[in-house]
Amino acid sequence: MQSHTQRSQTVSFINMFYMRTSYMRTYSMLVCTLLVCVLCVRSAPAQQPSEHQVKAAFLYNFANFVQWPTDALADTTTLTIGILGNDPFGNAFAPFEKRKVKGHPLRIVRSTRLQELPVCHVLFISTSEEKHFEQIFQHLKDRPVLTVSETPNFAQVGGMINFVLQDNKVRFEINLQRTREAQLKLSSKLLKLALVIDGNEEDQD
Amino acid sequence: MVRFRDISIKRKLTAIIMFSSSIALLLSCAALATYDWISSERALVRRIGTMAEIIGFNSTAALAFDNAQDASETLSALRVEPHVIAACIYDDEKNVFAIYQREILPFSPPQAAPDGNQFIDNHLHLYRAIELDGQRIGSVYILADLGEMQERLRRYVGIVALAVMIASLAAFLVGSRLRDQISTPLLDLASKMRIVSNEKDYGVRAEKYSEDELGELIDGFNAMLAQIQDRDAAIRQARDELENKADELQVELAERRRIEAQISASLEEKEVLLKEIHHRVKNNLQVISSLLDLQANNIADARTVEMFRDSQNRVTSMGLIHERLYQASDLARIDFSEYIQELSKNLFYSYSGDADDIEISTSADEIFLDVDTSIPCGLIINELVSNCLKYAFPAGRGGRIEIELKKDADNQRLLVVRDDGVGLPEGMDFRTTKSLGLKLVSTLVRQLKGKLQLSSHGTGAEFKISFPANA
Repeated sequence: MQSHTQRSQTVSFINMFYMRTSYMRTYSMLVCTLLVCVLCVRSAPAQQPSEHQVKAAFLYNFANFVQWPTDALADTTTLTIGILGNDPFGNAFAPFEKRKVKGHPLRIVRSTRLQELPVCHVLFISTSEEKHFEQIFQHLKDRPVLTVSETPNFAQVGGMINFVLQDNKVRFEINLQRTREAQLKLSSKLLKLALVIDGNEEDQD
Repeated sequence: MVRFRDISIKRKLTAIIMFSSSIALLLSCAALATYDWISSERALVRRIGTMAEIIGFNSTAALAFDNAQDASETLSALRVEPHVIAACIYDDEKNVFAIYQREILPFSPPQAAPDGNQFIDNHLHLYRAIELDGQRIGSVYILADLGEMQERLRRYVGIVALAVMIASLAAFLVGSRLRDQISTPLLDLASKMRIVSNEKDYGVRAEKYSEDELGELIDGFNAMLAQIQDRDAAIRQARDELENKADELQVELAERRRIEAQISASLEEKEVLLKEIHHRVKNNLQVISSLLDLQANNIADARTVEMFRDSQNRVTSMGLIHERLYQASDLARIDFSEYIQELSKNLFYSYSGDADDIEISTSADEIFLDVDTSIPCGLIINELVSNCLKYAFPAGRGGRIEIELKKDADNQRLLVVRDDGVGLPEGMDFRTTKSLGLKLVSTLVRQLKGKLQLSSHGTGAEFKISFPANA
């Protein structure tokens, strides 16, 4: 009930600017003041999420915009996100662990050794493993595993998605050639947001 | 201000045609406009709603990866829709994520709201959720103004006004044809009626245009005029006949008056003549009476003198009747009661001028008798009273004589002469008596077709004679 009243107040406030009457203007001043207060109150308590909280959310969201081959991700299979090396996320995955992605239950597995990890759909490779990138890529070959890191040049050297910071915001690079080789289909909406590192070919899918 | 019901039929019909066609047009146009407005509103909601959904769908990645710039770019696609004034995207915390506005206006996005749309002050406010993988990750708000719809409605109203005007003109042109079908016969009828009432010309006839009620009205009007004409003719004829008859009557009346005057003149002449005759008869009778008197004076014999005197009295009694006749207004009859008094007075002086002790009393109803009855009746009284005066009261005896004349039943007259004298001699029968007087009485009664009754006793005698009124 209260939110409805607030909303109609807001709505009428917008209309003020299209109905230029002095009465309305006075009224609009009042409503404007009220609205500013409401907005401030609402936005103030939202704590800025930490960089790794954002990245964890991104990792979770990638699954929504990436399509795995059906033999790699059957309808009922658990979608596994693996974290290789030093885990920089802490408990940033906590909000997602009970959720499902495209109907698949979500599992987060962590290990410092690639061999110890089960078959993952998304593999976050920590910067601590930078020296073993070549080995890891060799190991994965063209398997449909979406590799993600936050190491400079990760995408250029054979990784698929790499987090970068732009104007203090988390963005990501994508190596389209690699994802295509791994038979992963990325949504155009995702690509639109990405800084695309295109290997040899021009076309994007 | 002339009231509607007082204006002419022609104008009334025009007004009715124009008014009803305009009303019909306006109503149908209003219905169409309303329908158009409602369907445009729906179409707008559908269009804007579709846009909101497209924008929401294209903003999922932007929201998921916190890319407000990309969301703004997606929103800026709304530029192609001219009546979208502003739009914004909220994130799952209902914070404003991206804003689009058409012009640089102070626009503050409203608070995020559940899905739906509202029309407020000619603006559409529309909210749609943005979902990713079945989860609500934000919402879209679009503010559109209905300026285009209003513009469209305004054009609509303009077209309707034009259509109404053209349709009214058409209705006027078509209607005036139709109207004339009704008004022309009526106006014609009205003008014919004016001719009838102003010039009293019942020969005019209204022209009949159709076989409908108006035709019936005109037939009725013509029939009425024809009836009036027929009646006029009949009245005129009757009046002529009456005038002729009146003329005839006038002539006849004049003739009658003339005859009447003639008759009355001759009647007057006759009356004068009759009076003259009666006068002469009376005079002659008087002369006879005087002659008898003179003769009697030269006679010594008492019996002879008496006979003369009797005769003289008889003549006088007749003379009195003639005198009465010419003095009376009516020459045919006389008032007999007066006559009786005068006659008795005469007789009294003639026979016992000095006898104070005899009294004659008369009592008579007012009875008029004609000459034929008066003469015998007078002579009867003369004889009877003379008899009484001569014989009833011998040697100074006093007494009373009564004469009565009455109306009796059955149109009979009753004459009574009675005295209280000595009475009639014993055994006397007046039918066989040798007395001239009584013989006369007997004859005269017969002449009157009457009856005589006699009663006599020691203290007087009584004669009763009854006779019919018109013998």
